[in-house]
Parts: sequence; structure tokens; C-alpha cells
Amino acid sequence: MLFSSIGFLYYFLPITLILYFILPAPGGSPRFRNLFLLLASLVFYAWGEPGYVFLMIAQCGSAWLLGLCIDRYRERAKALMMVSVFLSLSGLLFFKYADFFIQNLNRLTGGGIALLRVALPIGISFYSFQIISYTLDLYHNRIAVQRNFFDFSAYVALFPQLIAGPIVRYADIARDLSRRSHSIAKFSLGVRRFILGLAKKILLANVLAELVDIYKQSAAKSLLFTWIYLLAYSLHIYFDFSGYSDMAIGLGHMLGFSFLENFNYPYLADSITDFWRRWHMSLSSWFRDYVYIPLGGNRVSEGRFVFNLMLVWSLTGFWHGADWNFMLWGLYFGVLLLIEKHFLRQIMEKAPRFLRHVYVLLLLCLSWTIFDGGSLEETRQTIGRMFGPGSDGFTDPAAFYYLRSYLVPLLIGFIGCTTLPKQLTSKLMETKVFTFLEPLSLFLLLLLSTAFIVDGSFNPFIYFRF
Amino acid sequence: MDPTQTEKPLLRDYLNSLVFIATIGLLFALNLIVKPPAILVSERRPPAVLPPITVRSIRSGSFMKGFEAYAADHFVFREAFRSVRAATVFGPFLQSDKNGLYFGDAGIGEFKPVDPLAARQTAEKIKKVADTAPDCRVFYSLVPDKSIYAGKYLPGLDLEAVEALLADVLADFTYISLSDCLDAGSYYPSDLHWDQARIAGVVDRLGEAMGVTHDLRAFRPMLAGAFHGVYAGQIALPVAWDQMIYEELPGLQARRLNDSTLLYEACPVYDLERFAGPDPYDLFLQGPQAIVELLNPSVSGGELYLFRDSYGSSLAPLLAGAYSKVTLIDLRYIDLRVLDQFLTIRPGSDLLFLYSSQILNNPSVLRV
Repeated sequence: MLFSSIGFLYYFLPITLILYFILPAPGGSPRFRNLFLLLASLVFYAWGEPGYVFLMIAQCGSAWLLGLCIDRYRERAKALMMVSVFLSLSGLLFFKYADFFIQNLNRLTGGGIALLRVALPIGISFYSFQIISYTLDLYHNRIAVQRNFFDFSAYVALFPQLIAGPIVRYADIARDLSRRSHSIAKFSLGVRRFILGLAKKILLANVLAELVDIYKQSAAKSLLFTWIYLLAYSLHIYFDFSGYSDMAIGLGHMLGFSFLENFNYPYLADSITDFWRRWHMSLSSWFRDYVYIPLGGNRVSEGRFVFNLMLVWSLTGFWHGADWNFMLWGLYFGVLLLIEKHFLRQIMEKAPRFLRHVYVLLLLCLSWTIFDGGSLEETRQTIGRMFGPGSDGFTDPAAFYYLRSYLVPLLIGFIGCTTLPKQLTSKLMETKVFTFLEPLSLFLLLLLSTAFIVDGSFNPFIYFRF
Repeated sequence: MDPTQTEKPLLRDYLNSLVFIATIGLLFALNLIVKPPAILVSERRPPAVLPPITVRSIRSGSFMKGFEAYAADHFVFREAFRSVRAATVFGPFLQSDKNGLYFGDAGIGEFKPVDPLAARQTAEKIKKVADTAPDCRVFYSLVPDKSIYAGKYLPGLDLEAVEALLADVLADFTYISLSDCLDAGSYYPSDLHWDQARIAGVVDRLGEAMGVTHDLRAFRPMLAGAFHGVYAGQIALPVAWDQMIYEELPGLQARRLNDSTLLYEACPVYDLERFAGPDPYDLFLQGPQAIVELLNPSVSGGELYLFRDSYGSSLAPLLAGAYSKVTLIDLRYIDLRVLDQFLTIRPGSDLLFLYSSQILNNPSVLRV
């Protein structure tokens, strides 16, 4: 189920909120509410993946049982941890990567092994990582074991973050699972985040996705049109994904949970290193804590450090999709981070801030050509069009037409990437009129987003495919 | 510690929460209570039906998919919400079009680029049909897309490229260009079709190319009434009413192939009952029909076979003034393989293939 669908907004959510708050919390224990959230989350998941809901339950069951065993049999904890991680990864590897490996094996050997063509369970990349983080944290004694299967499953399947993140670690919500508070202030905070996320997704990301789609379907792709596409895609992917994260965090607040932030104005970064501290933070910190640091991080020999970095970034790329494009995308960032660390750091510190931003944005545009390219050949063609007129020239009438047509959404997008709206809101918050202005603005944004949903059909979330 | 746990709620926190709960709660309740319309008038279609809840439909996911379509179609104040979106797109967002629909010099239009591959496949299908009548004179033409006349800033259809593409496949036949016979005023502002009262230039051009003299003086213009075309509903904003005028030729008769009885039956050339229906353009020769024959007893000899889409319905009566019989064949509704069971193309007749860009882009709809 999509957050930005009528089914979710005007059927699932009101029913879920009513039932959730009707349920008692005896002695402040949210046990009944956790159980209800688990059931609601399973319905939410089954709405899009009726068959795979049992796979998720099975993965929860095995990880929970093995977690109990790790806690009980500490002398065999390492083996048990490895079994649990293997089981979680095997689901991911089978459903997401099996065909990729078969294809490449066939290509290498000239063999004809038939592809499995199994559908990818939605959100498997996210909930598998959540399960692994629980297992590893438990193994390293960083968290206490969860003895209640329903509470553990509620953590894994919690519908706000189930299918597109953020990747929530058990340590971050363990306290909320056992005892959490609800307040009007927290609910209001959740409402604000949810509606702003919805508006980002519906009013900006989806509108810009139309422009991206138009470019891809266009026969003529001039240099100007290619840059318009890249700007639109850069904004689209940011508002699509951060909008989803905002909605997830907002829903979490409404239900009494506090999820960590996933984005922090990534396009304001002044280096690629800085960008990855601001973009999809739950994923980059996951790889840092569960892969990079266990490998030794940067406290190793130079050669090993380079190996660690490239491995982590190729895995980060590969996490996004079973394709060479994604692997290349990850390695691209690995190389850039290496260059920044060894060669560019001192130069960049002296460079004007404006130039540093241009450098980051240019490299990010290049990265999106790899990310959004259906194939390496398509990526090569797009990069060619970025820097040369090619057969379609510098400009074409369609480029000017669509630039004019999408200028306002693009400008809103540019401004939305900066801290300007936040600064403006902070100033307004000091005024009395904000007491009524904020609820009114949220109401209008909700209605406007609803209008776009009712009249539109273009609604996919990019990160659902991961 | 979570700051929201200790903060005293402000008035705006109460209002934010109230606004959200009230909006989703009220719309949820109204969606359950309010009876949906039997037909979505502006979109000219019935709303999606709630799929049956069965184990099979849930396991396959078809219930969930069907429910989303049902929920969107049955949403309360659907028309008002659609208008809000359209007003935002053309208003604050200053966008030139909404999903390809725009307000241009020719009224509301739609930009649909022609897919070269699809156009070539359509041309190959036309050739296959034309090759079944080797003893006839074969002509083909394109209904110029309204977007060609839309205005200076819109990337209109690249007619020259499409013509070149068709000429490559249909080199054995005669192409008749119509683009300079029309202008922005030749189309209904709220519809995709051309206005029968404003296509005399097309009739003349076809006659000139096919060696036939058309005299339109015998036709009498009649007012059918005011209507909103298909784009008016799609664009979801208030638009002016269009006037539909039809050109009546005394003595002209029509008959159509009844797709139930598979027998020919008499029908009106202009059906005012259809004008009052969901698609007023069906006034012309009863709208979608596999085969329609126009018989003009005042002319002896000369037959025309018009392979057409909906544009042909309004053009054919004007051509019928110069032929004893005009047969309209819509290959979207009859398969070429069974065509000879219902009509025989007389040697020496004229064949005219006249299609719009919609057919060029969708060769699969032609049952050839």
C-alpha cells in the first residue's frame, strides 16, 4: 500500500488510528497496541504483497528464535549469529540477486541456466537490514534480547517504515516498544511531518517525475533537454525519497515512536563526503557500523583501507538494485570519497563555498545518470549528451517548452532543497498568526495533495524497487 | 529525551491534530455514506466497480488493485478535487499543459507525439488492406492533429516526418495532404474532432486529388445544439459550450451493419438522440460502427470505400454528395478476414484511408 494512495489516506489510516487509540494500555504497557500495529502492518504489507507476507513472518520468526538462542547460548553466539545473518541475507540474495548472478554466469560461461524470474518482495532490502542490525547488536551485547515475538515482529514490520525505510535499528526504538508516550504535541509534530512529506511527494516529486518521463520518451534529446532532465531527476529523487521518509517519521510520531532522521539537506553538501552524511543517513550509517567498521574501517593499512572503502560502496550500490549500473554508481562514490580524502580535502577547504557546491552538484548529476540509466549504454549516451550536442543539437523546441512549463515546480524544488523554508517558518513561529496559519496551511496542503491523487495516476515511489 | 514529551501543547498543536483527524475522518465517513454516481459524466465512463472479496482475488492481489481504482472513482467531491488540481496546474504552477492537455489557439488540445515504429506498423496494415483491392484507385490521408494549429510555443506534431514515414511504406498509393486546408477554427474548441461545418476545404482538396467534383451548396446547415467535447471533461475546468452544426443533404440515406444480427439496417445519417448521449459526436452516423453505407439516389455510379476512424463520420456525408454510395469501414470493429462476408469492393471504385494520429500510434487497434 502506498502512503500516497486513497486506500491508505482515507481508509487504512483513519481506521488504524481510531482502533490504535481506542485500545487500552494497561499500566502504560503498549503490548496490545503493539499487537494491533503488527496486525495492521501485516494488512498494509499484504495489500501490496499478499503472498510474501508469510515470507516476512517466517524471517521474523527465525531471527527472533535465533536471537533468543544467541542470548541463551553465548558460547555458541557467533555461530548462531552467522546462521541468523545468513538466513536474512539468503532471502535477499535469492529474491533480489539470483537472476543477476545467473545472467552473468550465463554470459561468462555461455551457459543457458534458466532465469528464476521471481517477483521481488517489496521492502525486503529494508526489513532484512533491520533484522540483521538486531542480530548483530544482540551478538555484540549492545541491546537486550526481545523475548516477545509480537513486539519483535512489530519492530520489523512496523508499517510506517516497512517498505521504504528509514532503516530503523532496534536499539533506537526498543524503549518505545516497551513503553512510549503519546501527546498532542507529538501527534501534531507527526501530522506536520506527514502532510509535508505527502506534499513533497505528490506536489513536487510526482510532477517532476512527469518531466523525467517526458524526456525519456522524447525522440529528440538535446543538450539543454538533457540538463533539464538531470535537474528534474535530481529534485524528483530527493523529494520522492525524503517525502516518504518524512511521512514515515510523521506516522511514527503519531503512533508514539521516534525514528531517526534520514535526510539533512543533502544538496547543500559542500563535498561528496558531506553529502553521504546527509543523504539516506540510515543506510550509510548501517553500512558504516555493520560492514565498514567491522572490516577495520580506516585504521588499517592503506591497501586494506582502499579495499574496505570500495567493498562498502560497491555493496551500497548493489543494495539499490541487482544491476551493474548500481554497482558502478556505488563504486563511483567510493572513488570520489577516496579522491577527496587523499587529494582534494586541502584544496576544497581553501575553495570558495560556492565552487564547492557546484562541484558537488555536478558530480551528483553525473551519479544520477548512472543511477537512472537503464543500462551502461544508456548512461554513456546520457553523459555524452550532457557535454556535447550530439545528433539532437544544443537545444530543441521541446526543451524550451518543457522548461517553461515546469519552471515553477523546478524553482519550488530548488528552494525546497535549501533551509530557506525552515528559516521562514522559524520566523513565522514567533508570530501569533502562525497559530492559525500552520493548521490552515497543512489543511490546504492535504486537500491539494488529495486533489492531485484523486485526479492522477502517476504515483510510484522510486525506493519501492529496492 | 524527546522534547515533545515535556513540551506543553500549544493551541496550534490542538488545531493541527484536529484539522488532520477531522479531514481524514470526515472524508472516510463521507466515502462510506455518500452514494456514488452511476456514471462519471465528465470522463464519459462508468466508475470502477468494487471487485468481489474472495480468497482468490485477495491472493492474486486483484482485489487490492481493484479497490484502489474503486476508491479513486468513488471519492466524494471527485469533480471538485479534479478541478482544484487543474486550477493549480494552470494557475500557481503556470504549467502549459496538464498531462498533455492544454489551452491553445484551437481551444483545448492534446499533444501526442507520433511513435515512428507504431506509425510504420499502421502504414503496413493500410498497405495490406489496400492490396486486397488491386483494381481500385487507392488514396490515403492524415487527419491533421489539432496540436498542429495550437500555437507557437507548443511542440506540435511533426507532420512532415510522419508523411515521409508513411510515403516510404505506401509509395504505390496517392497521398493527399490536408494540413493547409484547415486552421485553428476548424475544430471544436472543447473536442478533438473537426467541425463538419468548417471542413469544406478538406472536401475540396479530396475531390481535387481524386478527380471528383463536390458541390456543397445542396447541403443545409442544421443546429444540433450546445455541447461539451471530450476534452472539457478531461481538463476538469469550466469551458465554454461549443455549437454542433450538421450539414443535411436531402435524400441521403444510411444503413449500418448491426453487430448483433449481422444484418444491414436503416439508420439516420444524423441521430439527435445520440447527440443527447454521453458522446455528442456520435450524432454523426451513430458513432462507432463497423460498416456504414451512405446511399445517394440522386447520383448515378461512383463508389467510395472510406477506411476511417471517428473523423470519417462527419466527413463522409459531405463526400456522399458526389458518389452514389460511400461505404465507411472501421477496422477497429471488424476484422479484415471477415470483411468480404459483409461487403464486396467493386472494381474501379475509390479507396480512401483516412486516419488520425490516434490510430497511427495504436496499430494494434486495427484488426488486420
